[in-house]
Amino acid sequence: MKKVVIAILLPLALLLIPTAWIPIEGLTLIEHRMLAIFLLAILFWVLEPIPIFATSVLVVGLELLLISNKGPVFLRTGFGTEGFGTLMDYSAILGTFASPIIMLFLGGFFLAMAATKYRLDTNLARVCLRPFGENPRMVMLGLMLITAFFSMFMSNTATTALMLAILAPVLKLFKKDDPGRLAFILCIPFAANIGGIGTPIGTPPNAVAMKYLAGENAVTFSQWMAFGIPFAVVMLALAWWLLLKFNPPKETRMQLVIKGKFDLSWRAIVVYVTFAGTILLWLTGALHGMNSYVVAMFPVVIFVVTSIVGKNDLKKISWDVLWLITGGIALGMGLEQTGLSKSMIDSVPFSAFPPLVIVLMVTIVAITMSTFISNTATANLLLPIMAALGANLAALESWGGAKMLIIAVALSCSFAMALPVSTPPNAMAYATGLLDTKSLIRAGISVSILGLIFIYGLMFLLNQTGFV
Amino acid sequence: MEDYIVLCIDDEREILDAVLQDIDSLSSHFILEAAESVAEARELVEEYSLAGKKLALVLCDHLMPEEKGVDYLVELNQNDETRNTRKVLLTGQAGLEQTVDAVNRGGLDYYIAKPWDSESLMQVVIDQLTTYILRNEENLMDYISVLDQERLLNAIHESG
Amino acid sequence: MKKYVILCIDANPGVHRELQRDLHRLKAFFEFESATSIAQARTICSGFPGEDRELCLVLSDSLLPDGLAVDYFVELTECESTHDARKMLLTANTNAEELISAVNESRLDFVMAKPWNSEELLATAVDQITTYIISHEPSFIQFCSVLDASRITKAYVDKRISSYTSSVLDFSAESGQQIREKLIQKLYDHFETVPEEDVFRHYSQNHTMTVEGQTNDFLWFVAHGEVIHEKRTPQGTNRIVMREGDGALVGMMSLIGQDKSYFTSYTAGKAGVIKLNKQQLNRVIERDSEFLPLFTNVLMRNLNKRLKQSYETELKLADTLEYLEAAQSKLVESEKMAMLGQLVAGVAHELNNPVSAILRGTEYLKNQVPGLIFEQPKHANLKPLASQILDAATHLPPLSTSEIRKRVRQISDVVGSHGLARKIVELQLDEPRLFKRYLAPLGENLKSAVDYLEPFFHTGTFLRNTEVCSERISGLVKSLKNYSRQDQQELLRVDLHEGLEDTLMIFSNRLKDYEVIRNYGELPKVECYPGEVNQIWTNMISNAIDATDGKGRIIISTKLMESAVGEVVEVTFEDNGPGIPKALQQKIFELNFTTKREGHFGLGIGLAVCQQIVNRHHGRLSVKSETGKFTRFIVELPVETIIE
Repeated sequence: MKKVVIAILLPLALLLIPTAWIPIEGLTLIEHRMLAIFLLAILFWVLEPIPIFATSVLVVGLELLLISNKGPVFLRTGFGTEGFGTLMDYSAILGTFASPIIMLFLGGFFLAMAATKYRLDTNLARVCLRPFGENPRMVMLGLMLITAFFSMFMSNTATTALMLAILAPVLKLFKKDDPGRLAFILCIPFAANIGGIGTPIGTPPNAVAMKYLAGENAVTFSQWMAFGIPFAVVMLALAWWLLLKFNPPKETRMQLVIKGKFDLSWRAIVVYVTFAGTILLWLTGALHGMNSYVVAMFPVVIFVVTSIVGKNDLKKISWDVLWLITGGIALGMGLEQTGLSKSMIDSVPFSAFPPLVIVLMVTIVAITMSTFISNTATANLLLPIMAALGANLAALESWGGAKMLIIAVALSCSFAMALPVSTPPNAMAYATGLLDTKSLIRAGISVSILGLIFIYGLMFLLNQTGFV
Repeated sequence: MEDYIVLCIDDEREILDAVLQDIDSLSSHFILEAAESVAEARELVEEYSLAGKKLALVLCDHLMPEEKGVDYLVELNQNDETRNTRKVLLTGQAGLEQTVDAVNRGGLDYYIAKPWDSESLMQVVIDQLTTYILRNEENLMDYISVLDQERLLNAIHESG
Repeated sequence: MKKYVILCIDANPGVHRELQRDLHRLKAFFEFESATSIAQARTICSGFPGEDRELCLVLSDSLLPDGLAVDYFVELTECESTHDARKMLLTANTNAEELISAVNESRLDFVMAKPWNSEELLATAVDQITTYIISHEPSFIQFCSVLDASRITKAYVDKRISSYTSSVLDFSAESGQQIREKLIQKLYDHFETVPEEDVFRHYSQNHTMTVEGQTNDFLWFVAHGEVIHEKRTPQGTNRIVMREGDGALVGMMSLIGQDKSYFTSYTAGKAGVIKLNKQQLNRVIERDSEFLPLFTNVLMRNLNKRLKQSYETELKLADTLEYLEAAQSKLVESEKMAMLGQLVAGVAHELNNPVSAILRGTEYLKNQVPGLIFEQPKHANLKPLASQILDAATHLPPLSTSEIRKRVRQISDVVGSHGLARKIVELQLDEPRLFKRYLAPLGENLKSAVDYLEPFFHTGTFLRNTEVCSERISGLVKSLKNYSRQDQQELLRVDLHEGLEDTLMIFSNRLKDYEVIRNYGELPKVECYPGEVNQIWTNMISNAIDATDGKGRIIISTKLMESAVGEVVEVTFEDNGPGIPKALQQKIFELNFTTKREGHFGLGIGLAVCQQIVNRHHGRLSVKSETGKFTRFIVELPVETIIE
């Protein structure tokens, strides 16, 4: 109850105080309102008095009401006068629900849904795990690689659930005091978190980042994968080594039993072909000229037309994830178009800091925030500011500018895995009861810090190669 | 958590003590309750329902003074609020006729004969509660640590 | 007229002629056949039965082209129509061995050497044929002129004499059927000459001849058809006693004995009868000397048959009675078993709960006790409290579930979690003073402290439960032991209340929904067979339960009364069931009475058995009932029993 009161009263107070009281120079009325919405978003996403996706919808609603050109008339009186600011186009705000980023994610959902429905994921796991034999260390590596691969295209949550379901019965056979149990139960969420980095649709923060990587900063699907996948592989190897170092398994042999065989009905084959085809098209955007958003519609269209995804399956789509991203996009659009983000950046003397400090600061803020709150919410809140910061800070230019800052912050969001609440995969692994918080924190913080360091390395490399 | 009730009904206090002890590991996630008669059970379920707590599982003896277990199961099954409740008979004394009645009209889900052993009782309880949670609860994650992990994880996986 | 054949077999046709010549004298009465081989002889003989001819004598050479005569004789002996034919062997060289086998195997009658003396041959042939004719031709007297006259005459006289003597008493050679037919033939022969007597009748079905209990002046000989004899039963219905076919006599005893008819006799279908009155019967007897012995014989046979039948009936009745007695005791036995089965099932159920509780409890203790004893306490300062809790749980009855719930509700907001609150209440630490003293200072450690204390509470609880349950089991076992003195066939002085209580204990499973009211008076010890008396209580309680359909009120009262025969104990069982209608109140004590559905043994046998037991004790069993209100069974047993 207290949370709700704070989360509502503080923004309301901010909304009601005279604009002049706010220490931002040249703040317009619209910017003032937007600031209140931003504060509300921060409070709601941090304190979570309501589900995070609901906060997103609330943001969209408030923007339509307070700063759109079709809001209530009395809120628009004075439009055109000095100090009022620019009203936003209502259709642009509503359009965030179907922005290309959302459609890209939707395409990913369709792929994942069909793969699950025709058990492509389980069967792939079965086939791909076989070469890793029965040595627990190798099995773990296999599990991590497959988990990471799946989570590039499927939701991290679903991937973790799938792999834990495969792993859980085997882990019960481990002795209670075998540290290997810990290593295995941790390797799945970590691999899922890391795997999410690999593609723009791997995890929502990436999608939010894609939104800001437009225009001159544009990054294609294949470009993202070109740095994302190698980076993910390196991080996976690192996490694998780290987990085994902390928790060497005593068991010398283990056998994962995954039952099933490939469905060979025509629909299943359509799923396989579409899955492979879509990924291929995403990778080869440069050849055919279709961008990833257009390609993302292929699985949607094909599966709907062939009834592979039917009416009932549509209900299973995680609208909450899509709307959570929508809220972020709407928030970013509001911040940018009202000019608030620029005003805010301007009010802080960033240029006084060395660019490196700025990068360190924002990435640490990002990883810390997303350790405690949703990764997506963190991205939603931080990335619009980063976009503005990158664009307005000339000193950053030589370091990669906005592009570097956005990618670094987005990746940082994904590396928060120190607590059960940090990411859904962590929560799920923790919920199995095979994991204690202490072990999770120890391993999670290690991976987070290593991740952060490697992100800087990646950025340096990307900068050196001229990508950013 | 503690949104769902697991209720044991038996006229013999010693049996209630034993059953509650056997399923004590669920007390972190469920409200474990005991009633010494059907009348007490009915009152209890009503009270909890006012507080928004639902009856997830009932473990019920049949032969008790006054109202019989099977009759109560039938009553639960006819009530909208408790139709989904998993219904288990824990008894040594229901005849064929009553058992058939419990299955047909009471929506009986399981029959455990007295004397029982704690492991299989727990197994049945976990199994039934998992089914209940899968059908009635959106947030499956919270129950992974106490219920059937594999079934819950698979359900999460399938729902994306 | 039958023709008798003399057969000659010899390979040499000259021998045939010679023989025919020598036996020429027999030609007028006998036919001659000749064969040159066994095969030919066979062909000839095979035709005889169809031509009304009979082989009376075979004369054969010993050695024939297709075999030995002896073998053929064996063949003849084995055939029915030629079985008795006389066999003569004419042989040139007599071989002793051959001869012996011929005699032994084929009843060779005579051996004659070749060449033979003509007169000797004839004499021998005549002698052989005479022997054959006397025994095979009824009117052998006509052969007197050709065969041995003296032997034939003698045989004829013997036969006449024996026929007179034997016909009276000895008809052993003939079957009853033959005799009856003979008798009827005689009657036909006799009355066909006097048609005016009009004794031949043709009856249609159901023609009544004699009527039971009425006088009768006729005798019926049934020539063909069937008659039925009926007798009236005491219940007034008629029962068929006997059916008789051709040759039956109807009305003989009533006619001869001048008695009333014993049976009602009528025809079963169409029948031809000869109906005679006394005078007509007398006339036949006078006129035909052979009739009386025949008639007497038939009469005796008839009487004998009826006598036998009557014995058989009696035997059958005795069997049936025995069978019924066995069936009854089996029924009583199976009722006892069924009751016993129900009781065993009930007791098993009754044992189930305490046994379950003990099993679960001991398992818990097995797992917890080592920890309680050996582990270092996490909250050493709480140790005195733990021991207090253990002590209380071991000795005090637990809180009721509703009480627990009430108290959990009071503190659950303070504690936060329902599960934790419930545990605190179980430990009875929710009482404000105790809570403040022990739990409030713990703060963060509250849960861990409760987790530490909990096993002490549960250990105590399970120890207590184990004790309570064991006591219940031992009570049940004691009752069972007492109750199972069923078969102890010994007269003892016992406290009836104990037996009642044991029986109630055994029924406790089925009495869960009953209000059992005991109005026990002061009773002296009663002399009785305790097992049997327990059986009465069992039946009474079981009946009360069945009558009330599983729930209701049962009042058991005992009191001591003075009566004419001394002190009497009265035990009454009253239930609030539907009651027994007046009309049924006596019937319920009958063996085959039951109000229950099929497959349920009940009232009838049970009460009948109770009645027997009470009678054995010289007591009384009675019932009072008002429909819709109550049924009260009253058992009266004398304190001092005189049992023979």
